[in-house]
Amino acid sequence: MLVLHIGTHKTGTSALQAFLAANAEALQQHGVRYIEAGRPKRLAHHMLAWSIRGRRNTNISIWDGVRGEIARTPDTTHVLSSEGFWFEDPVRVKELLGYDGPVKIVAYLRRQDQFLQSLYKQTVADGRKKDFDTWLADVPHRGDYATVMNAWAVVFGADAIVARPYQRNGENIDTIADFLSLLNIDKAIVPDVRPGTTYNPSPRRELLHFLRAFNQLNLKIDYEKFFHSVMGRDKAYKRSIDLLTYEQRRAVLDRYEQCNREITERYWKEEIPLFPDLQDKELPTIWSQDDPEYFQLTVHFLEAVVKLISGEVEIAQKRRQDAKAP
Amino acid sequence: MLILHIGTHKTGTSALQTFMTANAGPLLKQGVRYVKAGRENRIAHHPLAWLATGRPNIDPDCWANANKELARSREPINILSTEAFWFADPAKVRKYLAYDGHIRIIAYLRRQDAYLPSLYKQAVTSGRKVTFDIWLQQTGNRGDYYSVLSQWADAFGDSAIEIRPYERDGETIDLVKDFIGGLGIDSATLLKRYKSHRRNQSPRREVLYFIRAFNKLNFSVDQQKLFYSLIKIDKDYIRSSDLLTREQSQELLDRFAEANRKVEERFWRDAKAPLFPDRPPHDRPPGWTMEDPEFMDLTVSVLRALLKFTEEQPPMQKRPKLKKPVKKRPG
Repeated sequence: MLVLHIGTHKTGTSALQAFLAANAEALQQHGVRYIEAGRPKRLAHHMLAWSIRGRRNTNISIWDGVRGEIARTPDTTHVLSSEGFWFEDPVRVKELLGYDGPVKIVAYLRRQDQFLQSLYKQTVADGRKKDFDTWLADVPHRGDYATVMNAWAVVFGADAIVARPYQRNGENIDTIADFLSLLNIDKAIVPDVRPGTTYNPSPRRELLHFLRAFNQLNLKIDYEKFFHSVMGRDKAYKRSIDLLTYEQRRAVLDRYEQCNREITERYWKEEIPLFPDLQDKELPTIWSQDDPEYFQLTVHFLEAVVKLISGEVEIAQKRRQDAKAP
Repeated sequence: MLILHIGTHKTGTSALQTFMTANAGPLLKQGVRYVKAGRENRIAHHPLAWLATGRPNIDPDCWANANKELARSREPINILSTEAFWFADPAKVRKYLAYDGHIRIIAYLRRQDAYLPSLYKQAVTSGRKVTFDIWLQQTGNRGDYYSVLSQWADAFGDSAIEIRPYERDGETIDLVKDFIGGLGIDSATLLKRYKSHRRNQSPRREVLYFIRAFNKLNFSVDQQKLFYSLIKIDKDYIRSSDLLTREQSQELLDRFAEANRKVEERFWRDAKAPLFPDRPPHDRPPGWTMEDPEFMDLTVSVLRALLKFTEEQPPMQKRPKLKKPVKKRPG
């Protein structure tokens, strides 16, 4: 069997991929192979997805190794994982896999008001400058799960589609435990050897403001590294779902109502709802300039910027000196 | 006659001192000597006050030099000007000053709910890090004009003290025009080419917020340069009287009401007008919040200024920690 985990973003994918990569040997003892090919020096199979359209200097030949690895171990449950697959043509994926056995297409889905807020935050952490409304207007399709899932169903069959909710009983699920359960493995029996890391944490709204302002400088830097250098300064800087009011969240969900109904009818087989009902909750407290926490955040951010810029200047000066050296 | 202009801060003193330095020649022609000694190539006589307050590394002869120049002076009006006199011991100044003629002590006073926030802003742009409330606690009686003026009066006599309001008819005065106009000379000729412009401008509350945050980093940079590089970006970054709520302003006025009453009773001689405007304190204007595009623009401006600053000079170094905190003026 082949399990293709296609996303979506912001549903614990990085943590899952890190787990699968770090514990690949242990998983093999349970009959599961997290395919080695297609992810050189990476935790996930993003290069397979990118290669389909030749993105990021990838070559389609990277799929050769995947096909070879699957063929060499036919009696294993093979796992490929990349949220990059979400954006690719399932027809091409099927062609490139060249696999005739049973396939499961696994997608974790998060209610769109939460998904989009979280996704937007990640785009800002990655260097984007737009405000939320502008960004949202530019990506109306990003919350349309039905169109994507239907396309995968057309190619692999509706029965192959496994939609999993990212929230249950009011809490985000443990994606690792949930995914392993699909492979009939109890997470408790796999000794987790990952380093203790938080993957892609969401910056709280107040920090997002500074990150977005910083992005306007158009610096050529490692945004992810910079982002983590700020996030690491205080655990209070991590917070998701604090951008939209109830009314705004309601409006987002109204937009995807039809889509969600279709997803539920076609791919969700349990009694409980796929997505939790929207609760009329207040936004969490947002720090203002008069709050010492906001001031401390400002200090931390400026310090991170100055350190980064100073370091970059030092590097540039060193490069200039090296260039002048005989 | 000798005029000792003793302040206070934030009443246009720098503009006046700049004007007198630049126009020392024309003033002299009209019989007004802006004493050159005691300034050490500055626009004002800060070293004289600093020596009287015991600050180290000041030329010990600066008072002697000033006294010599005063003794040689044939001009009917001589002027020494520094707001740093406000912090000096008037008895010491009296002792250092070897002048037998008529002395006038001139101080411009600003109502405390405008004076103290303005002073605080200058303290922050000079590197202070504390909030207004803490600064106010630390600076104690900075708004108590009476305790200072009464000491000057004790040293020079009540009749020598001349206080002037910084606000008249609902407007802040132009100190250059007011001071020069009050010398009894042909000020119109002297002021013909004078263009009023503010020095030591106040950053708006949100800009101050960033400057204070930057101060917390303890980086050795020219704070003033950084500040001016910021405020020249947008004229909206300059704004006064936006720090205190109505209640906070009232609290300040209440705190200094008794001292102000004594100042008026003892030193204010204009029966027609109040020393301080009796308008009720107004609420601070609304500030920019995180949701406002102006605040985003300001944040970007701050980051750009930091970027430019760092690129133009060697990487910022952390300031070494001092064993004893160094008190800065003002604040």
